Amino acid sequence: MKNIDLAWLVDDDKIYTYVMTRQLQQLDCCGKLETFGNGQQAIDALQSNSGNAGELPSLILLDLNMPVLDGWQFLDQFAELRLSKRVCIYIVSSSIDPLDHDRIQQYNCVANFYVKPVKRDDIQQIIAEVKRLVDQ
Amino acid sequence: MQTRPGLYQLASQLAGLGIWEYNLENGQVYINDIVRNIVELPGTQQPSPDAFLGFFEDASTIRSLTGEVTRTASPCMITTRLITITGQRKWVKLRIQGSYEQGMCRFLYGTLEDVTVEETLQRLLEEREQRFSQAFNNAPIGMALVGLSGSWIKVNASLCEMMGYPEDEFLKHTFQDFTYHADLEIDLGYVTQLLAGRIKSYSMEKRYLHRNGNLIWALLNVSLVKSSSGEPLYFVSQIKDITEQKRNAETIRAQNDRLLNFAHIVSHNLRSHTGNIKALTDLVLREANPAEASHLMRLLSDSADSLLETISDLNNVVVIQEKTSVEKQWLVLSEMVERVRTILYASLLQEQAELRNQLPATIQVLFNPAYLESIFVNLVSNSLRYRHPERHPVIDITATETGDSIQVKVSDNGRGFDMKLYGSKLFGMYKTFHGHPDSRGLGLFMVRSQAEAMGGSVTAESVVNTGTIFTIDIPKPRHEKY
Repeated sequence: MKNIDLAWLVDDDKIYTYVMTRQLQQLDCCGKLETFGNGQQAIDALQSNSGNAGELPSLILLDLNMPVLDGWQFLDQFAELRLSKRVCIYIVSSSIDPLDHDRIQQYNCVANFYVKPVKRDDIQQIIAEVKRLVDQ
Repeated sequence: MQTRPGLYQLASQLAGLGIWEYNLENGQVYINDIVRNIVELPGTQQPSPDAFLGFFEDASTIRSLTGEVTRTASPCMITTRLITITGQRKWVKLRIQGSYEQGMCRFLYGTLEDVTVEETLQRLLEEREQRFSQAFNNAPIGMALVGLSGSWIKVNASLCEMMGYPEDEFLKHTFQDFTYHADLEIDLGYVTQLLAGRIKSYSMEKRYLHRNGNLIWALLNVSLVKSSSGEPLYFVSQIKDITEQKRNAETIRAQNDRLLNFAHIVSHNLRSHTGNIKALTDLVLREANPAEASHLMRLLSDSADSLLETISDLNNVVVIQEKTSVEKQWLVLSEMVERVRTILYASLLQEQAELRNQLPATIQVLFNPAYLESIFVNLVSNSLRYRHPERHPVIDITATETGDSIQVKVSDNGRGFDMKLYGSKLFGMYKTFHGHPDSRGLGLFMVRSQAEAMGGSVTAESVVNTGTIFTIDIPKPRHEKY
């Protein structure tokens, strides 16, 4: 059995999503991986599946700078959603602006924060944390 | 003759009063011990009239005074200087009176007091007063004496100039009248503490209103002058104009903010590409399948291209932000819009767009021509790119003029955007909102950078499905400070 049934990548950087998908495949830890090009697409998908736990991810790897709806706006809207499943959000961004780091602390729904590029060890760490939470 | 003054000689000792007599009949002078002390004459021998007179610095005046007293019989008094045996100069108060018998002046007598301490003090005070008055009137900073209720008692020329009022008009006001309302309460708080004796003086930065309505930033120093019995009399205020310093500090702060913001942009944008390059390289090294490895290599090459492109973008931005002293010239706005119409001719035709130049031919701005062209090209292209799918684009360019700036508006009937969602990030670098394939998130960032490099600013208003209005505020050149 996989550690995580469903994970989402929310990022507009196609190369990053490709690389991340490959890394997750190599680690063979996710049942299924879906990619969204911006925050709005992800929010729409969460809303339409809010009662359908099978279609909701256990893990979202979220970028901050994206068109249409950026990471912050995604988090604000995410907080308003009523979901039938616990979703862990990890921020993965290129930002090293300390203001961004402080701002992340204000969001309870964010489990942790990583600066790109994410190392293999980091991914394994994230997976382990999420698995522990899901198993609880 | 020693018997006559006997009693008052005794009394004079008690009063510290010097006594002298000059017998006109026998030409003898008598001085008591106190006079002797004053002139520092040793021994007991009495001086000759000339010797006694010789002590006085201005002997001729004393001589003529004694002559006058002898003639007129009216006593006189003079404060004058004498030089003692040891060469000390002393201020003395000399009284001269005559004694008459049968209408003839028999002898002159009087008192001599050492008033050096009082006189020196008095002169010092006068000199100080004069010096203060000079310092006050000619001080390069504003100075004022202010009554306890806030009325101006005395103001100097610098302060009048600072506030823009002639002195007579100035004095009709109170300091409250000139204080910017937001700073009044703090100032009055200090005044209360000063009057209550809790503080000896205070200084604060505050704003005043110039007669022309401009705000003046000033550094204020106030102390309270009290009477000898401790009653508050008036305030002494020093007011230094620090408007220029404040303005410079503000410019530096804005520049620092821009630099820091830019440093984060650079870091972020370079990081996202180098991060990809690193991750792709790791994958390539692990990849056993040649077809997949070749795909990864293509992605690697794309990432390197993006990195180069980003560096080139950043370089263009640096060029704008660095050259704040880039060449400016007077440009007729309307002509610039026509130029942009030519540049974008094909796009306007393709979108069947109407560009309405409503600028009067008289409006000119002092701007860098390349920047102004770039701003218009970016804004008009933006209107075309985000046109409403159901109507032909109509773009209006208008301008209004206020006292110190010209506002140019570029308004369209396009798709608009949600101000709540995007308002704060609209002019950020690499921020795109519509997910339009041509969007690179650089145009509005450049517009803002170019407007700011010229000392201006740019703002936007938008309503979804109605349109967007961009306003560029271009300051008029400042000729004089006030």
